[in-house]
Amino acid sequence: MKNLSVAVLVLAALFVFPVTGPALAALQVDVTQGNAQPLPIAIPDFVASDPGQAAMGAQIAGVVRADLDRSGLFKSIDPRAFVERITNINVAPTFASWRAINAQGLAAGQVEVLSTGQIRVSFRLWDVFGESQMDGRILTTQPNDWRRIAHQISDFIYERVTGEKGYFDTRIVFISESGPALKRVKRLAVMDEDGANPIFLTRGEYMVLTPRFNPTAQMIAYMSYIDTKPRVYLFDLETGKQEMLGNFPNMTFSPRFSPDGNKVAITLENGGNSDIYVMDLRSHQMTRLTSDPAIDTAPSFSPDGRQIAFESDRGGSKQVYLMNADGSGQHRVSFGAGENGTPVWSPRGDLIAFTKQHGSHFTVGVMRFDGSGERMLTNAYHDEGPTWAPNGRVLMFNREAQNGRGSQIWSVDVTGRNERRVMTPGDASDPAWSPLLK
Amino acid sequence: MPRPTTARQPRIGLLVSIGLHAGLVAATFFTWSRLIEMPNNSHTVPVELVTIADETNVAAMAPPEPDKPEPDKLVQPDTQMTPPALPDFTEVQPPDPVAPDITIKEPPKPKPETQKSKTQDFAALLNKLTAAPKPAPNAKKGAQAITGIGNANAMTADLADALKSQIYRCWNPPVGAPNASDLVVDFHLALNPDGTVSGRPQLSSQSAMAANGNAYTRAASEAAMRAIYQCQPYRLPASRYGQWRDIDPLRFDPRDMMGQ
Amino acid sequence: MNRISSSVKFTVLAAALLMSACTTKPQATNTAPPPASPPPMAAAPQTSSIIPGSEQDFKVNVGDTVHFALNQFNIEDADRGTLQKQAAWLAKYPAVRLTLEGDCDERGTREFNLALGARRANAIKEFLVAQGVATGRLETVSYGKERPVCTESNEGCWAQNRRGVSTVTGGATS
Repeated sequence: MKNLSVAVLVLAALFVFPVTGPALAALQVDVTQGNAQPLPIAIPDFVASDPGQAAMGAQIAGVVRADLDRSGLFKSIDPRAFVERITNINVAPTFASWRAINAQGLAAGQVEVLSTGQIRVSFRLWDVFGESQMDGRILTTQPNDWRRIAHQISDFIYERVTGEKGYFDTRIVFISESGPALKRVKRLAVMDEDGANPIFLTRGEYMVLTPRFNPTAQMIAYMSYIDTKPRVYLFDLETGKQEMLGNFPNMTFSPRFSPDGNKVAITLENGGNSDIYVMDLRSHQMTRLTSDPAIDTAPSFSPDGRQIAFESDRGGSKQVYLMNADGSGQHRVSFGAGENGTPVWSPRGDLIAFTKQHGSHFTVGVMRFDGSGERMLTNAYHDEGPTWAPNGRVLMFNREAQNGRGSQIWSVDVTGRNERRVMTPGDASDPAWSPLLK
Repeated sequence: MPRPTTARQPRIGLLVSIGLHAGLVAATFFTWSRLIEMPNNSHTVPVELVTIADETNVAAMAPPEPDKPEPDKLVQPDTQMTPPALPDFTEVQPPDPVAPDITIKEPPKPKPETQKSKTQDFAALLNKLTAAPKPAPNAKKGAQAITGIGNANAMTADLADALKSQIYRCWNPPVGAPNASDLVVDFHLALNPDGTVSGRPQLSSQSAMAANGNAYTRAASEAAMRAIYQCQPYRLPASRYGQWRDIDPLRFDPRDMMGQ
Repeated sequence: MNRISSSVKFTVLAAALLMSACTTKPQATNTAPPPASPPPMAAAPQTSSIIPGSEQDFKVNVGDTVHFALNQFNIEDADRGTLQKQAAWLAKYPAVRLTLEGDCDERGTREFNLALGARRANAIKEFLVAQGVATGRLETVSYGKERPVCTESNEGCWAQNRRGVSTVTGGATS
């Protein structure tokens, strides 16, 4: 209400005090076109009191710059262009000197080492044109977790400027690929969202496919060919323990957690036919959701857990279908050209990402959950298997080169902009994005 | 979230086995040779967070503003810091309203990015957004509310276009946000005769209220504010200053650009 | 529910329904009638190094691979001879067990192709069972599109990758 009254006062003042010159009605302008471009932001190396800490301050700032640049929504300004040197983040900067280098935002931070051995990182985000502080935070952690602090700072800046949550403090589980095209070695691996800290979870003696995080990012459901029996397994990242999900005589595959993490939707093959089931992880009870003689697979829950999108060829071609979480109300939603599969519900709930196939050409796109508003986001030879950033703004997917020349992970903004390769150790496929880490 | 990479509790057998495997595999296939590290039970101290507000010397530069709770659940109070008192962008009165002078912006190290490439980026964006353009005049509340100035509108259409063509270059519209109608913001803008911004552009009461409760609207209003400042001074015919000294509403409406 | 424009597709679908509906009883109409004269295998010289009843005997003198049309899993006429020979060989060596692997070309999503490969493996299994092979001697596995034998992105290669491979996994003479 305070805002309202301020605005009213301003408006009142305009009426009370006459203006000079021919007083006409105010001009009305409706700006409907813009110039979508990255926001120039200055992120100096974080200040510190001694050289050792200064090195960490530079590293943290470097990670924040790289995070924000990678989003495509920011463009960090080369520090060599800076006019003012930040030495104390508790003193307001000289905004004019940052405007002079076209910076619209300025993130200034500092690093301290506490007596406990922890590091304390503070930063302030300044609006250079508004000459005001937009955000200010202090983060404390162990020194070897400095990258997480950097990612969290990136998330704060991203959220404050765009209005939506960031996605930098997240991890990616994926399949690391190596070896010749006819004898690929596939290993389960996780890494930070920016590709740092890659860890192999399996050693490649058996093939692994389609890993997915649970909602706490502690558990991974994936398919493995241990003992040449393709089954869905659960990998507990905290304990390193793996267990087979259920005990079925036939192949289980294509797992996906429910939003509450208590269930896993899987595909179970029986006598050659594949249908979708849901297993309750607490009771280990299986519920059959589809019983069509066609192939039903690739289930994905809606964020509210009430619906499941899946891929089926029951209509004669592969298409995206929806059903209620109890299996009722199955209906086709994709009616666009070609064949459509691997639906993945956006965490926002507004869109379903999917893979479209035209003959040998595969692209990744999004549609509304009723199948309308289809938009393709990529255009390469073979893009498949989208996964959403937790804010529903960015997707990663699998890009395979023609003629078996390998597979890489790429990302693209939901608008179709900012397509870029995600750095992985060697070839990689089947990315799945974690939620924001806790 | 515990980080399986940090602490290493030696499990000798496992490590030996892993080492041998890794060495063998690496020698056979890989140029990239990071040791396999299995997750263990190690926990790291989770990151703790506090919000820092303007401190005294900072506040001296920007006058203190009414407290507004920051909608952030991660924040933990810290005894050393003052409670959150982040100023609302729309309420801050800058100490010096002098607009930045665009003509002398020459960074010591010029950046390679040119206006041309930005325009191309934008054209690429438009090409990728395949939604059919909606009729523009939907929900033009401002225009409907102010009646009886149809003549003025017709006479000033060229001025509106001229201003639009200058300001749009600086407007980074919030494409990709979930609900486009949250992102329409109206300003009252006053201009000086030299085309610079006079005082501070004011959000309409409706936009200000929306921005108060919605991070997307707040971000959209800030992006629009940056555009207003960044693209000044505006080149408009001096002889008609009376017709463009007040712009109300100056509406930023990204709905046609959202692809939804 | 859906309009199926192409009669070809409908035929495929009908075949699919028939095949998949036979989880309890083998679809005799689909698999039983043997071609009048199966094309004889190219007479492989039975060298002394190949032991009858061995894995190599199966591979070289019987034939371990059949092929499928795009998105389909019915046994092609041309492949019936191979599978009949497999059944006969299994009758001769009753201790042998087979794993039947179903594979696909790259033109399907990873998940869908796992399912399609399972259909192909199962189609082979049903054919062999209809020829009198005991179900317990046959295991199926699908590798989807994960195990190509040819990496070119063209029809010649894809045709090779759309296959079913029978592998001796036990009971062979060695």
